Amino acid sequence: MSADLVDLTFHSCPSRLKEVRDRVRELCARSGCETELSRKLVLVIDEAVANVMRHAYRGRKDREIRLRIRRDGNRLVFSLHDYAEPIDFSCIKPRDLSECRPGGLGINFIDSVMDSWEFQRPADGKGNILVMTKTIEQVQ
Amino acid sequence: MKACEVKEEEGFRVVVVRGEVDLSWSSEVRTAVLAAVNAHPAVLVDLSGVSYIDSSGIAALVEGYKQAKGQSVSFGLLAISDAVRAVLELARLDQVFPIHGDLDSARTGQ
Repeated sequence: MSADLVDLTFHSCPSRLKEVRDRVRELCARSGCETELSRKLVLVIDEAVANVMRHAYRGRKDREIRLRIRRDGNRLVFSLHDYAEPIDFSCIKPRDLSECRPGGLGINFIDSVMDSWEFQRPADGKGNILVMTKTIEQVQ
Repeated sequence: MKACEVKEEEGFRVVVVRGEVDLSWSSEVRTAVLAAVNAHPAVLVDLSGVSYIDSSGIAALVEGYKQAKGQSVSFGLLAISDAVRAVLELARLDQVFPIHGDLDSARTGQ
């Protein structure tokens, strides 16, 4: 198991999203991601964190979120851990984008950008973990 | 620096948004866009100064667009940045919103 490139714990306050984006952007640059992919990964992680803030923690701003990113060969592995009530993973799926309505886009972004994503139940049963992977092509 | 300002320009009410639009303040953008739609027959949202937008910001634009449509208000996006265009494309909304390069084309397209 490779070491974490990012291990960031922060409160579930939307004002922390910029710092999260900056860390992901910086990691992407260090990993040699091309600009377009970097932009998409920043968006997807922001969306995943925002979903935790809005839905898992229902807007409470003082709860803990942990984002870990590690390298596994040519893949980046993102792990987002919240400590909210366990969610029903089967309810979380992309929606039909032909329907023009506000909301619900975050999972679509995750689904279309990432190679894979899945929810895992932590060993201690507390909270939820969203694990996302993406193969990166390094800029020469 | 994030900001959301409203101005009158050539027959339009223009909501000028700047900075990174995310969950921390997208509700302000939503409020400004909906207020403009409720108060004026022709609304543009200038996104040239937006360096980042997430789905909550996109949702504010969709709400404005849908409300405008329901009230027969002209609604469009103005001078969108590459960052905004990329997210609109990902959401498959780039063909939904009227998008204008500048005020002249907005006026012509109206």
